[in-house]
Order: sequence, then C-alpha cells, then structure tokens
Amino acid sequence: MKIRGDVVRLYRNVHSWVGIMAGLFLFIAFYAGGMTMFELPLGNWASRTATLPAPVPADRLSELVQKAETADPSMIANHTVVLHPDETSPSSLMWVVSSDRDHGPARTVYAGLAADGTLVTQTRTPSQVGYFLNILHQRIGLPLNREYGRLIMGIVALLYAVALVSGTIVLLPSLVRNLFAVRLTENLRRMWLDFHTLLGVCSLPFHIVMAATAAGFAFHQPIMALEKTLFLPAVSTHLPQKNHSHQGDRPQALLEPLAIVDAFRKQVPGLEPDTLAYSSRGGKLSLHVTVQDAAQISRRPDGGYGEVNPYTGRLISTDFLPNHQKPAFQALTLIYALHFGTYGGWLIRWGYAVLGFGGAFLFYSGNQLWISSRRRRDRSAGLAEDSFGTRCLSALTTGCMIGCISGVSAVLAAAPFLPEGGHYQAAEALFYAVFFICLTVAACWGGTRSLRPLITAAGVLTLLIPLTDMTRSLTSGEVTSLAASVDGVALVYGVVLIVLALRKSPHRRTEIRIPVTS
Amino acid sequence: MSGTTQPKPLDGTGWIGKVLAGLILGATLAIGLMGILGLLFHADAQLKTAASQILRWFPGPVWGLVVAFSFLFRSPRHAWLTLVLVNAVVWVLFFLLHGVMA
Repeated sequence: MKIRGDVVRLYRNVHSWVGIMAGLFLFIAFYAGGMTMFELPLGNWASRTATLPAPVPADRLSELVQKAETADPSMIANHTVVLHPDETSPSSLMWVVSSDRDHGPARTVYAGLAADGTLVTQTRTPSQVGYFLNILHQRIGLPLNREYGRLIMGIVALLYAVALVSGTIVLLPSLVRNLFAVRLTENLRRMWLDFHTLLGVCSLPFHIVMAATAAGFAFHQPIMALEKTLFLPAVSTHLPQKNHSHQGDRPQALLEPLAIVDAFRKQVPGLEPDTLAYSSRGGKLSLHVTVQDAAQISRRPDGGYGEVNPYTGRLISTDFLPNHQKPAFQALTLIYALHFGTYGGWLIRWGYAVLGFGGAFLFYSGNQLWISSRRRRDRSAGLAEDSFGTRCLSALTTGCMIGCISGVSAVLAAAPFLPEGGHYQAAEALFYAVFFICLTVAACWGGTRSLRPLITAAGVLTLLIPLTDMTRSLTSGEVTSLAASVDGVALVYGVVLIVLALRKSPHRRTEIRIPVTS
Repeated sequence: MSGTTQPKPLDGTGWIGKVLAGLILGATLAIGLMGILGLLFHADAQLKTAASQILRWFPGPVWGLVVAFSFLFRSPRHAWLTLVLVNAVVWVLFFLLHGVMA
C-alpha cells in the first residue's frame, strides 16, 4: 500500500506524541481491564462463602421467602432467589440492605433454613476487590468520581483512537516487510520497535473494538441527553400494555419461585433459569429471570435475562434473553459482549485477558521506544546525560506502570486478611499507597535504575498472594478449587516477574556505543 | 513511496488549528449524523428502542476519526472551512428530516 512519505512522517510524529500522552493511562486501563475478565471469580475468591447459610431444597424455597418476608417485609423489594446454589454462591436467598451502589457489591443478607425450620440469616458485604479493579479500569487509574472520571476517560479514548489511526497509517506502507522481522539485535531501540509493531498489528482488531466501545461508554451521559433532544418521541404503541399494568395495580400475591420457574420453562424451552432477581423501581416490582450459559452472547458477565411478570409468570420482554432477541437487540448486546468478552465462554475471556495484558505491554513498549529514541537524539546532540524530558518520562513510565502491577498484586495479596474480603475504600487506599511509593522510588532513582528493584518488588507482592491465601485456607481448613487456581496463576506470574527482574541484560551498555546513523 | 503530487509536502505546521477544528466541528458533525440516522431508523427520544441505544456508540468513533484525519487538511483555514461546510449540510438535512417526520 502506498502512502505519501510526508503523510507517513507527519503521522509518525502524531503517533509518538499522542501515544506519550495516553500511554500511561492506557497501561493502567488495560492491565486492570484484563483483570476484570475475572471480576466475578476474583470477587468470589476474596469473599469467604463457607460460613454462609446452606442452600435449601427447591421445594422449600417458597417457605424460605415467606419466612424472610415475615422477618423483614422490606426484603421483597430487592431480593434474589438462587436456583442453583454452588460453592461460590451457596445461599438460596439473599437481599440487599444498603443502597450504596457506588462501591460495588452492597451489604447483603444471606438467608437459609435451620434444621428445625427456623430462618437463619447472615449479613455482610461481599468483597469489593473485584469491583475496585473494574473501577480502576474505568477511571484509567485516576481516583476521580463518576462524572469527571468518565470525561477524562473519554478524552483518553479519543487520544487512543488517534494513536490507532496514526499508528496504522505509519505502518501500512511497510507492513509486510516489517511485520515478522523481530530483530533481537543489540540495538535496544530496534527491538522495542519490532515488538511494538508486532504486538500492535496482531491485536489491531481488538484495539479498534476497544477504542470504539470505550468512547461509547465514556460519553454515555452527554450522548443520552442529546438523543433525548434530537430524536422524535416514540409513537405510543404501548397503550394496550398500559391498560394491562393498570389492572395489575390491585394487590396480588407474588407467584411462588417454583411456579415462576415452571412458567418460564414452558415459555422458553431450552433455557434454564439461574436466578430470580426482584427489584423495584418507583414502587413497581419487576423480575429478571437470569439464565447462565457461558457460551451465549450476553450483555454482562453474569448472563442474559428475560423480564417476567412476578404475579403471573408471563414473559414480558425477551430483549436481553439469549437466543430470543430481535436482531437489533442482538446487535446491541454484541456491542457490550465485544467489550466485556462475554461471548464464547471462558476461552474468549482468557483470550481477552491475554489481549488486555498484551495491550498494556504494547503501551509499555511504546514508551520505552520513545525513551530510547529520545536518548539517541540526546547523545547525537552531544549530551552526556538524559535531558529533563527523557528523565521525567522514564521515571513516570517505570513508576506508573510497575506501580500499577505492584498495587494490584498488593490488593489481591491483602484481600484474604482484610475484613469481609476487602472493602472498596481499603482496596483503594492500599492500591494508591503502593502506587505512589513506586512512583516516588522511580522519581528519586530514575526510571532505568529503579526498574529492576521495582519489578522485583512487584514479583514479591504477587508471590504474597498464594502465601496469604494458603495461610487463610490452612487456618480455616477450607481449600477450594477456585482458591487453588488463583494461587497457581499468581505463583507462576510472580516467578516470571522475578525472573524478568533478575535476568542479565546485555543491552544497556552496548546501546550507547551504537553509531548514530540517521 | 509514490512521488508527491502536491507542490507543498504536508508537515506539522498549524496542527493546533487543524486539531481544534477536528475536535469542535468533528463533535458537532458526529452528533448531527447521529441525529439523521436516529430519525431514519425511528430511534425514540425515550431511548427504549434498540436503534437509540445502538446509536449511542456512533458519535465516539466518528469524532475520533475526524480528529485523527484532521491533520491531513492543507491548512487550519482549509480545515475549518471544509468542516463548517460539511456540518452545515448535515444539520440542514437533519432539520429538514426532523420537520418532515415530526
């Protein structure tokens, strides 16, 4: 493909400046984003579930709900019946007792029946560690509130889009020639360039999808406001439905859980209800029957849902029910699924995690590339030391990026010992403490000199995860397969980090001697 | 690389003006296009239909592309003029459609 030389040169400049501006934020967004692929399992891992009330048999579900309602009449407005309790979600009934939704999973009552038929409950907050990682991802590492965080994220998404377009333009003319030519030479700059190119090209579709969907999520609120003014109000085709709901105004008894399940199975054969989630908005109770099928394209990691009338069991809406969506809603779900990796089961989620971490490394390599070319220019200009800008970026790159890795590992390592598996504020405080310590070390020692000590620290913190978790498991005598797999992954990852830090590098000294050619 | 067809090669001069044009007029352009598509696909102002929800993802990428390609304008003046013109066409079309369909 032919692109004029001056255009390529112009966009090479654009790419490096935009990349530098967005790279640090995007590293954190992608590293934490890769972690969010496992938000639910990580949350379950951090919450200790063994002490929760045991599940009740299906035929006693309605007895359980009735007894819970007698004990706490307000629970009806916001409760969930778990039809298939398992290791990570063992109680058959739970309801939320606080409305603080900003910090993730809210304070929840878990209920079960004792041997003599009396109601047993336990109240606690599920671990908010997984949610903290998600918010870290959404706020690109800045401790901002929803409003400003979203806007900053939008600006970064815009920079990201410009970096993608410019990077593609730079690469197109020499794509085939340079793609698989990874030159593991003595020249550090060459090596970073080749890695950066290979990673960038191989994950380009993923990055295009992420940039496009992220911009949508970031500008959600302002765009919604604009849509309301630009679009025409809908022609009211819902009149018959309105009459119908009017009839439902007179107080009725809720249908029993098993009756709902039966009605649901009759209306949508082939889908197995997973939970019955009741919620109320404006005094009107609504029911989402969620179905869990990892291989389906679904809007959220916890599966798709159908909206059901809680009094009659009649299916009201299949807009977000897998296999029963209209094409337009299927397309809408696909937008969510493409961003969250919620299609094609665990293989895709692992693939997304790898692409996410790969993306983080892409930004790391981009910054390293920028630093090495700046250094080369400084040397050719006769400077013996790095210029101020190079030193700053070098320290920021090492401090922020390794600080992010260390901070996330520290939060996960502390989770087994934090009360209730880690509240949001605790996770946030710990993360930023570790993050700023790393940043300070990098600022004091310089980016290059602090790199190895900081990666070692990140590796040690990562190795603490299996250590603290095993300690917890041994003291409580409960070892789950989930805990074992989290520990295993953390162990391998920590060892890799330490090996990377201790590996001998022949590059640094030789690079300075390389004659400047251009 | 092919030979230059234009007398003056492109470089970074005036990039602030070009990017500002892309940022401001790119946003209005993206919103105008979203409005037209919304009218054509009968997206509703109550945001209940799939069309109005899908269109929420439309302006972001368009805006990003306009900003990214705004570097290609020959001069800031050229950038502002072209984008104002395109904006005018899009918004006139939107209000015509809005008037016809309302």
